[in-house]
Amino acid sequence: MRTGNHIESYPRHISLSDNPVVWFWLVALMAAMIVLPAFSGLFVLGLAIRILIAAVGAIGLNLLTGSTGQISLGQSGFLAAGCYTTGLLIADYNWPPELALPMSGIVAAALSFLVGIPSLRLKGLYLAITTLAFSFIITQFLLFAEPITHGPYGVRIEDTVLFGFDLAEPTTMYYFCLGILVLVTLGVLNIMRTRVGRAFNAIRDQDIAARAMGINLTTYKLTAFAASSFIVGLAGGLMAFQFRFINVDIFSVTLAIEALAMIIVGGLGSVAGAIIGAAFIILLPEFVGDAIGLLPAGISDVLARGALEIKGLLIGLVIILTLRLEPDGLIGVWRNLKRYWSRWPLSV
Amino acid sequence: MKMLFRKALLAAGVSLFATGAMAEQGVTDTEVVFGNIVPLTHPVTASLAYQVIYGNTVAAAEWNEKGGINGRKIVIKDEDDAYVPANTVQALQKLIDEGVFAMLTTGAGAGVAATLPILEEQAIPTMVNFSPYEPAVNPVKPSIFMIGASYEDLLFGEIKYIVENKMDGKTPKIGVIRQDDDFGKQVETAFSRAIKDFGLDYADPLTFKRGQKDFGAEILKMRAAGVNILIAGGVTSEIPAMAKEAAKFKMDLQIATVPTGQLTPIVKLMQPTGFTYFSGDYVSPLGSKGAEHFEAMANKYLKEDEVKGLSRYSLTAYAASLIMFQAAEACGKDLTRACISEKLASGEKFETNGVTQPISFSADKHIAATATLVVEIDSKTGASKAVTELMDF
Repeated sequence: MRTGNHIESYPRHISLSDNPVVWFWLVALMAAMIVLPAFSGLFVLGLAIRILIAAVGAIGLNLLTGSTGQISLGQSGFLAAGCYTTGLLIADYNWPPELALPMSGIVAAALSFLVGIPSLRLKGLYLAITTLAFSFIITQFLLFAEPITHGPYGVRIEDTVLFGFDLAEPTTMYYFCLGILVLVTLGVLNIMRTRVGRAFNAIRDQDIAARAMGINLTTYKLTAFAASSFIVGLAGGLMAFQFRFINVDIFSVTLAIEALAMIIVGGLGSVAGAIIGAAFIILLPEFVGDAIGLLPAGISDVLARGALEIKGLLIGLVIILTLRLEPDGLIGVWRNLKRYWSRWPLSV
Repeated sequence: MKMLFRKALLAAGVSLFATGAMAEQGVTDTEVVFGNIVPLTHPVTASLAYQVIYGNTVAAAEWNEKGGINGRKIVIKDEDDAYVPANTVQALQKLIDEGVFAMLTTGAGAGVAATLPILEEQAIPTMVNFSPYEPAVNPVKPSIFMIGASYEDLLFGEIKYIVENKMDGKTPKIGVIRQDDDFGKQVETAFSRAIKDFGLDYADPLTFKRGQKDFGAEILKMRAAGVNILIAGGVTSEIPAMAKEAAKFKMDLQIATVPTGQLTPIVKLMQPTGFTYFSGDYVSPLGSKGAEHFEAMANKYLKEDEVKGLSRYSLTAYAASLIMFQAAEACGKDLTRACISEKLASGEKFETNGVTQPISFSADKHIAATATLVVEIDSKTGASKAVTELMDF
């Protein structure tokens, strides 16, 4: 019977996982994701692409909010910046998509300094409001700087061929997003194993103590902002290929709230939690729609009219229930289940 | 033996090829499936979305009673996009998965734009009609067609009518309060064109965010500038919200609105303001001779509460559906997407049972029904009447 997790060496301590069972299930999950397009139609594939892109964005936000403790409501602004950078560079400046996509991350990271530097002394709600204001500035800029951004008319992206693969083809797009998600996941997990990652956690848990231990708050907070925004910007760049038409309507404040919901429901500070949370929030309306469809005709007709409101209600309810019952989110539920299973029959 | 095997392979190949050439998604011996994407759950436009569905339903029911399209029953699948372009794409993908043959509506504004790449790639015959979006058909895309005048033309027609008939010797001064999106931009284009064409004095344009409820500050600015013609550039409840403020300040104002100004809830909300205002359209108003046949069919096929909910959006959807069905019928038994697009672009005239003038497209012009008429609405009585004939602007 397993009694605990005894780590006897430093390399084992910093390894991504020291448990062969975890690796086995990860390989099985990857295999399932690789064969998914063979068994799914356009709709399921579209949904999967949305989840993958949302997961990339959620991991980025999680790095800032979950790991460093800096609450940000400006994610829709960074997403928009990344998305428009890729879109405009391809559509108006004929940049190859191979360069335009990484630029989405770079521009978003550069913009993060604009909001990061003035926000260094801010915490909690004050920081949240500042970042929210930033996303308003970005969307207003996109709307009114028509000569640069096409204003309300949006941008259409024709060239979607990256390294010889056409991302307009849903299966190709799916594999590309999956690849980016794997890279981002590994990248962030690695950051979290380094001094930088531990500094982020120290700032989140107690910034004054972190400073007393020699952590430069300015440097590390700005690093967190830049790294997070780079990833979120990259997710925005992927959205440009996903829709091939971008418009400021896509980047509403609701999007920032949903992003926050993803990491709270998934489990703050956990990369796996961010991915699970993204999948949960994207799939929630689909489940709601299907559940409404199963109800008797009279009731389902009435509820179908309010599907948008019901979705909003459910997201709010899920956040409340998560914070009240399982603050570690879905990943916390998963950990509890694992613990219960491995310690059975002595589990409590 | 080897020869026999080769023959069998050849036969299998030929039959596969033949099946591939004949089978068209969404078409069976008994059914043709059409798709419809509308914002069913958007708080502002949900009612319009249902009105569109009523129009489609009446057209399909009428056609099915006559035997369907060459004996195939018309089936319509509706999807909701909540007025969010990302959802419009998702909804279209779902409909394609579910085997839709052609599209009767593909969302509004940016939603239409977002679906264009997929519609083009898959050559899906599509009628854009809910919210006219010129880039959908300019430049021409082989499978995409549109009915309806642009908001620019509709509003320009109204302003022309107001300037020529309603100023009673006063010097016209025009102002616009418009939504800050692609729709609002079209509204402002009409404003700029009117200033240029009629040499009008004007106040600086003002913008607002979709969903704004109070227009006190904007109306005060218009009053201070001496505006007596106002383009109320909102989609639904913003129009009466602006009029309410103008009435409060006792402004002597002529108000021009987009076609949503004719919707019953808007007319009711306008009632306390006492304004007689204007709207433009490219379909015959409900209650007019042109809408008689549609209304008779609606009474026959819709429920009582659905009939009460009809609007000009039902008429545009009805007309668009009829055009699509006629093109499909003209293809005969061998119904393919390519054939529908070809028939639509052939220059042939399609009847809409009086809702619009007969519609025809051509190979290089995929837009029709661009002539507009001006509708005057008396908010006190709720009565509306066409005050001009259909005209091209």
